[in-house]
Amino acid sequence: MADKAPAAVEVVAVSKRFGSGADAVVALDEVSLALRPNEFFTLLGPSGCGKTTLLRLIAGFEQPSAGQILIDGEPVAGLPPYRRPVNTVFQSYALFPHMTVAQNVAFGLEMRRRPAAEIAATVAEMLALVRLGGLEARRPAQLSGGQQQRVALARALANHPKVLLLDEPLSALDLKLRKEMQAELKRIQHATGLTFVFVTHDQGEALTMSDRIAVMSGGRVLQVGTPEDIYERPTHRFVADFIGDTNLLEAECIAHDASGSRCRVADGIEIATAQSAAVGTRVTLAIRPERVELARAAPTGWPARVESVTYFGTDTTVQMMLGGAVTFQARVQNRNGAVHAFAPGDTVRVSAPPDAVRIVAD
Amino acid sequence: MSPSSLRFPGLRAVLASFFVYLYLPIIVLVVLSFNASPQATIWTGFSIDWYGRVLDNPDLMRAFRNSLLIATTAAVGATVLATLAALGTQRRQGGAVDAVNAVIALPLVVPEIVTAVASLLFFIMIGLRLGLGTVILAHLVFCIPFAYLPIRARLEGMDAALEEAAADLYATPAATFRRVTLPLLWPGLLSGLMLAFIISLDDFVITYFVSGPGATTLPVYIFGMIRIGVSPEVNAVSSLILLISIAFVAASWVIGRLKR
Repeated sequence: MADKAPAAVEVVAVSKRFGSGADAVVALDEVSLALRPNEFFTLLGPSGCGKTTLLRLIAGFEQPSAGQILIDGEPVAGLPPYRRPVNTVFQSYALFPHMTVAQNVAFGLEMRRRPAAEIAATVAEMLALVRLGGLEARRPAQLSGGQQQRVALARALANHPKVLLLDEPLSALDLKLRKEMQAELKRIQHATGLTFVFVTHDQGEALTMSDRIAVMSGGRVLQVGTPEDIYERPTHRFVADFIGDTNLLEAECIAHDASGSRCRVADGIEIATAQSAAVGTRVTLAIRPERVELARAAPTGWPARVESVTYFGTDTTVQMMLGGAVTFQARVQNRNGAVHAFAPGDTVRVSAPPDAVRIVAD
Repeated sequence: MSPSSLRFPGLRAVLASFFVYLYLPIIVLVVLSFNASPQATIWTGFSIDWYGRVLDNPDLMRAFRNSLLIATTAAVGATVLATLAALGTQRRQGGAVDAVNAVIALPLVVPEIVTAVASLLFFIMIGLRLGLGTVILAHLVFCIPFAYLPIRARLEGMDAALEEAAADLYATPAATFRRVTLPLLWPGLLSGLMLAFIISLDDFVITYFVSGPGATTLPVYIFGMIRIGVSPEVNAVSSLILLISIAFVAASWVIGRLKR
């Protein structure tokens, strides 16, 4: 990438250890990332993967054990949180309970000694942006969870930060409100043109909202890419498994040419992939269930026996046994009564296009 | 089986006699403080003369002023120290913090007579002249745990993210303390202050040991009066102290329960 503008946030080989000596816990292990200006960037991973630690390092609540962080091209090592051009939306919202909504939103501007007229105008503008006009005089305790969330957002945005950090901001909301706030966050990100760093463990949320996602596990970033990259072309077993459902097959590469490789899963079951691997290597293959094609009497494909058929409304999941020992699932859209097309005990033919078969690292 | 399903015959009677045992003497004291008779224990008619006598007794009023001065100074001093201690141990864990908490709470379980004798010997040893100053010092020390507990409870209940949010919104540590921590701590501070005040106001044993001439407090003065004979004046002044104590404890409780 030869961007002229500096990265909104650049994380260079950052490690973070808590504790010391043999008891030290490595929360982040040489993580490097570059966030583009104006992008909605998501840190996705299970709890304990280091995503919140990374956010706290960017905010300045923690200092890295090694490596450095640059915000808008400037190194921020040693800068306390109150000197960094970033603002945070906390998981618990952390609204000041003894202040009104307007006082909460005005807090950052007051701390930076902006003129009163500017503060009043910005507060009104921000409350309008998050659609909370008219609630200026309320206390946080008098607001619903969704409204508190909006106040937290307005309070952070009022400072016009270079980067907005969001720490699982939607996890305390119920499903309906969460969907609403997801759309709201996207709208606000477009309206403000800010860089958002969004931490979540919810893969659905990450896929629908992000421009790019970094999937984290065990203190490392495994893959960075667009939601489509992450879902369609996972590079790691963990990524394929964590995001959506997937079939993971152990196989040995037996041939390869310009168009890809052939891998043997079991006797008589050979799968073609569009990726290449050296002949003789052991590989793990990931295949999304919805890319699997099932047929009763196709001349080609791998033979499988249907174990169970589960109806999911929009689609039906067919669990199978491949080659007598490997479990495998396919998802069939319920357009033509797929739920009735297969029954446990049936023998079917299974295939997948080579571009749907991904070689993933462990 | 819930505890409420346990029923013993006569439980009500036992409970009633327990409350009688607990409060009857106090009720008798308050009633007799309105007795017209100079005999403290024989009722002859209603009067508020004894309250007038109390307010006209210059020695008693001086003792009362001493008590107020000591309690105010000791309570404020103890609250400041307790606040610093609570902030110092805030959101820290481990053996050191547990030890600090134990040491701060220790005066609660040390027998008062031991503290009294120890304080007296200590003051004599370092050559402090007994007087108001020594009483205030001694009170300040035993008031600290009473002030510390509500303040610490309030701090513990505070979301750690609030202070981080303030820092995130460009507040320096000093501004964070002034604008966020202190206002949220306020009910705990007042609660601790009032508790310390009333504990100091009530104290007898330690005061008796470490007060010198001119430093007589109200409880010590009342003890002196009793030795001459129980007069209705003693009943009246005791009732007044009771009133002040109840008012303070009630205020402390109400403030402690204020919404966050």
